[in-house]
Amino acid sequence: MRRRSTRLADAAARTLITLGGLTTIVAVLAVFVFLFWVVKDLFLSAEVGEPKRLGTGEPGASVLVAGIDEYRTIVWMLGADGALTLRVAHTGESLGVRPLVVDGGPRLTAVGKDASSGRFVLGYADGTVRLCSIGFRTEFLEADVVDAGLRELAVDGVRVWGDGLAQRTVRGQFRVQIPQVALDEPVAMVAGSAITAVARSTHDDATVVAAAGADGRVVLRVATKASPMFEEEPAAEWGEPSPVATGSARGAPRFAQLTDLGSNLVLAWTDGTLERWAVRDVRAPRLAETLDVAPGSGVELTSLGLLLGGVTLISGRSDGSVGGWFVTANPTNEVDGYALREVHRFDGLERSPVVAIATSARERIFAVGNAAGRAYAMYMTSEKRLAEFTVRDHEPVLAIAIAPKSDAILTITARGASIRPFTPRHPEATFGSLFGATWYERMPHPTHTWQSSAGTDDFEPKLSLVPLIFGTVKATVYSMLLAVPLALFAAIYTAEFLHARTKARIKPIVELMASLPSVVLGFLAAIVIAPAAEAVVPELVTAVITVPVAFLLGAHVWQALPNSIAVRRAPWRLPLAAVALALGIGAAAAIGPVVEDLLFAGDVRLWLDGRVPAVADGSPGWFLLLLPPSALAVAWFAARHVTPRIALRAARSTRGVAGLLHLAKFAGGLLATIGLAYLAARIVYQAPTILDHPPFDLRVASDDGGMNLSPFGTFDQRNSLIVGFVMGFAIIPIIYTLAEDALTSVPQHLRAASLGCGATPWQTAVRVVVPTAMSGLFSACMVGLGRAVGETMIVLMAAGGTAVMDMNLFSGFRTLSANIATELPEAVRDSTHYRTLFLAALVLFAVTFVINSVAEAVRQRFRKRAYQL
Amino acid sequence: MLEPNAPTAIGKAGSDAKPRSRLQRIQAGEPVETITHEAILAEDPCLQIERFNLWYGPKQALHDNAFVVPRGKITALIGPSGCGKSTLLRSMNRLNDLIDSVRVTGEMRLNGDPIYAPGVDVIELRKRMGMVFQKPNPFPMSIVENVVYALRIDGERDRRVLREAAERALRGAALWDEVKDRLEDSALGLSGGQQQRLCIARAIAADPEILLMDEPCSAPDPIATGRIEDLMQDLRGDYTIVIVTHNMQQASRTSDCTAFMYLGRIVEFGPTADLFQKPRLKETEDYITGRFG
Ligand SMILES: Nc1ncnc2c1ncn2[C@@H]1O[C@H](COP(=O)(O)OP(=O)(O)OP(=O)(O)O)[C@@H](O)[C@H]1O
Ligand SMILES: [Mg+2]
Repeated sequence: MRRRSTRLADAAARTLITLGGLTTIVAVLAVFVFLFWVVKDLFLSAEVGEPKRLGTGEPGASVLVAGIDEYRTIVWMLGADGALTLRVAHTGESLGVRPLVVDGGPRLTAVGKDASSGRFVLGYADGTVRLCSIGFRTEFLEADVVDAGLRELAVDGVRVWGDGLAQRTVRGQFRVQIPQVALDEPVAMVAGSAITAVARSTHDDATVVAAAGADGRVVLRVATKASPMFEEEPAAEWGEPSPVATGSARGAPRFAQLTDLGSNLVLAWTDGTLERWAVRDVRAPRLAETLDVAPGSGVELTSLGLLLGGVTLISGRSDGSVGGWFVTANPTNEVDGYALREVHRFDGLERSPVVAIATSARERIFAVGNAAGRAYAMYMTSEKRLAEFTVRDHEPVLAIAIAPKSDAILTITARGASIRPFTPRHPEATFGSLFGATWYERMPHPTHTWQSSAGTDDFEPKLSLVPLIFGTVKATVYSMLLAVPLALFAAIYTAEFLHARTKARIKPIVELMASLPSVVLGFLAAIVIAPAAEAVVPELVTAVITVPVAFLLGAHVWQALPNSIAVRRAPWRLPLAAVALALGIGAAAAIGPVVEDLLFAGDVRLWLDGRVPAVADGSPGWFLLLLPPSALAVAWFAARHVTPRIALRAARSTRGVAGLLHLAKFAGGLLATIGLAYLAARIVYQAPTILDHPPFDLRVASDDGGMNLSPFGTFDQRNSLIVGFVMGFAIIPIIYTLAEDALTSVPQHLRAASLGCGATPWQTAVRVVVPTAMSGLFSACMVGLGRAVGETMIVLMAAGGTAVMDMNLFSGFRTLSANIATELPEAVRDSTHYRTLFLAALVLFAVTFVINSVAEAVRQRFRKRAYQL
Repeated sequence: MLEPNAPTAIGKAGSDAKPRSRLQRIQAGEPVETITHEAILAEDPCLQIERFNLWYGPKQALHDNAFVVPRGKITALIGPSGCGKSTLLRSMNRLNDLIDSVRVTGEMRLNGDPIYAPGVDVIELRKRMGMVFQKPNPFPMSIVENVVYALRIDGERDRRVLREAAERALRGAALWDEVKDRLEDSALGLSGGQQQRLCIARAIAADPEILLMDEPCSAPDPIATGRIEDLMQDLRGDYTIVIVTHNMQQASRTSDCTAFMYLGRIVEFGPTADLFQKPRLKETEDYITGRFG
């Protein structure tokens, strides 16, 4: 009977344990799968669907520009005859024609578009231009006006409704899109000459217009009031025209664009010649540079577009290639210090002249169509080809447009228009842009940047995880640097030197430290420690040196004490160590200002910044860095060559004399260390000057966009030092507890054996206990590492949050976890940003998972070995 | 075997009328003189123990012990389990200091130097003694590092010196031939008997003045036990050895002198031959012949 109940309990326990284990595994897997599910969309490729064709035959071969509304219900086409034709996208039915030329007036000869607002400027044969906008007003019909005809509409069905087009929405509402076309008064640019190219750039109520005439004249003019978006708005007020003195020998420019908020005027000719004029001051245009954007014999420039944001020019050439150009800083240009360069290139497209370019109004997607009827949609920054297709009968593409929500592509050929549904998905996120360097607009080189949002709509999110990973590494390294030695020393001390009773009291207290919420620690760090530490930077730097010196000095003085005193007063060693600590800190406070004067020209924060000539000498940084290795080198030398001699002498004299000899050795070693570090610092710092390079200054970041591993740099109040310190304290308890357990589990008989051999408790700890518990200590550190990698609140509150890529001890950083915590609440669901944050979570998860697995594997091995002993 | 803490049949059997036996008096906690044979007193003492008491917290484990360890001889400590043999041995090199609750009175001297006087450097003291434990406890290091451990902690770095010391100690522990080709291998790979001899090698590597062994031959394997006994015969004369053992035959085979302990007291102490053949006390005879214990 009892047997059976035991068996039952056994089986129940086994089932429960198995169930619990399985649940855990399933939960972990589920988290992984969920993260992966959200992330995988990032890497799906874009799709383009089957075309829907509108009526054929018209509008003829003369379309200059075309577009589509945001619900993809109305297509508009502006022909060279000046007629704006509107059509229902579903049926091809006409929604009327609006003339954008005056009856009997000058012909329409050129169209220009503002890259940020999407509004137009039209150029006419008489040398005048008119600002123009083509848009749609959306209205929802009240229930009482909806008639039977509308009511019969299926979802998404459309019907002409007054001037506009009504559509039944998914929610059963009736939405009317009413075309809104505004045309401002004509204004003279190049009077008497037909306009061949025109451009506009609108910003903050000011619109710059540039127009080129057939006679080669180019003129700039500024409208100081917003150009009308809607018909009722007042007309613009125009300033005086100012001529651009381009060389008329080349004839009339074929293309014109105003880039960089209207500060650059780009004029281009079909032979590929491009002139960039600095026109920040509209009244005094200066030619900044002239270059060939269609190199190669017989290659012509066949189109020139401007990407969203108005910075990147898109060049389409007769050989089918497409390029992306923007200005980057270039000191050799004496006019404005910039140079236009082809940063992105799209080769491998069909070899046929690129004749039409369209840009998206939402992201840096653009589409090109060529004379052979092939069209491509591409993402500029990542140079990713998103989609491609061929129009019917390989007709030349006359015009191409991307729908406002980037969800359709409109192509116009002589045979008519067709609309293709388009799903770009997440073109800005590629493996390269997430984990590699990406060349963003106006940057001098590719960079790793995380900047997910900004004030303007045409801002391009920069979603490189590298600076976040770097920040995570930085936080981890600095906090582990503090936590590991402290926690291990504390663990060794409690396990090996404390009485069992004291130990029983101290261990729970340290473990209690772990229960301190990290948000409290972060709060303390940000509000209390950071401002306090800011005031004592030189003292802190000095303390790093004086405290260990104080301890070593204390140990040497102890050795110099007569034997009888040393042995009898042994219990005093701990309080004396505390005194040494206090002395070290006191010394740091006392000589901190002196050190600041000697090393950092009197102001450590100014020195860290390194921009003022008074603090030009960067070698003190090397001095600090080289102090520990110098100390090791000196200690090694002393142990090999000095200590044996002292031992020989000591054997013949008393303990006190020997202690004095050791004390002298210590003082000498200290001086030698300082001297060695100083010398080495000078040598390393000055070495590059032999080859006429600037000295090796740790404070100067290299500007190649890579990471900077120097621990020195400009001081921020919320910096890695603070985070390292506070986060160190957050992970000390866990490392301490696990390490202490590992040390305690070393069998007592090994300690007895070692002590029996005449080893001191310290020697026993270092030579026997620690090596035996090594894997346990290692796994404790790994668990601490896992904690540090995932730690969020402290970093969030005390790290400042700038995603930089330097190891500067005195600056902040942004970690994966803190970034997720800050940005996920405001990320738009299913956006690229959102999914990228999930990717960050996945990376974090993977890293902590690996770390914890390694820790566990090591621990298992350790257990097996401990069992053998 | 006698249960030391429980009142035993002996206690009950003895009626008030009969003179009580020594063991009964010990059980009653009365002070009892140690019977020490004169032959011992004539020996040159290596270690002397004077009126030594030891308490584990409130419990007294050693009572008023007086004892000498003759130089160059093997001294065996025998007695029932829990009588304090290990405690006495561990007191000699002050390993008991590790236990917080331990309190001692009295004095011991190693070659005339006090062991318990205030101001004694325990570390230096322990370096003058070697200790071998009941359970082999090699360090998880290589064989050679195990052997030279005592030299290493003394700061010896010279490879040649270390190597020679290791060889000498291993030869001394009759282990050299077995391990000379695998000196760098982990000591944990040795058999139990080999591990124990390695521990002996470790204990003699630093030329201790006295070697303390706590049941070093308790390995279940008779061949291994035999080898260690042989080894002790080899060491006899060169080293002063104190050995704790449960095994009467072993004590009589290997030792020169034997002390019989009971409930924390040394009851009788004499040359092994005398103690085993003509013990002065009946109690000793009873124990040796297995009539109790
Ligand atoms: N650490 C300790 N704390 C408290 N009491 C102890 C401790 N170690 C030993 N004792 C007690 O002291 C007495 C002597 O123990 P000891 O280990 O010296 O006996 P022993 O003669 O070596 O026995 P055995 O032959 O079984 O090894 C025993 O009663 C034991 O319970
Ligand atoms: Mg014992």
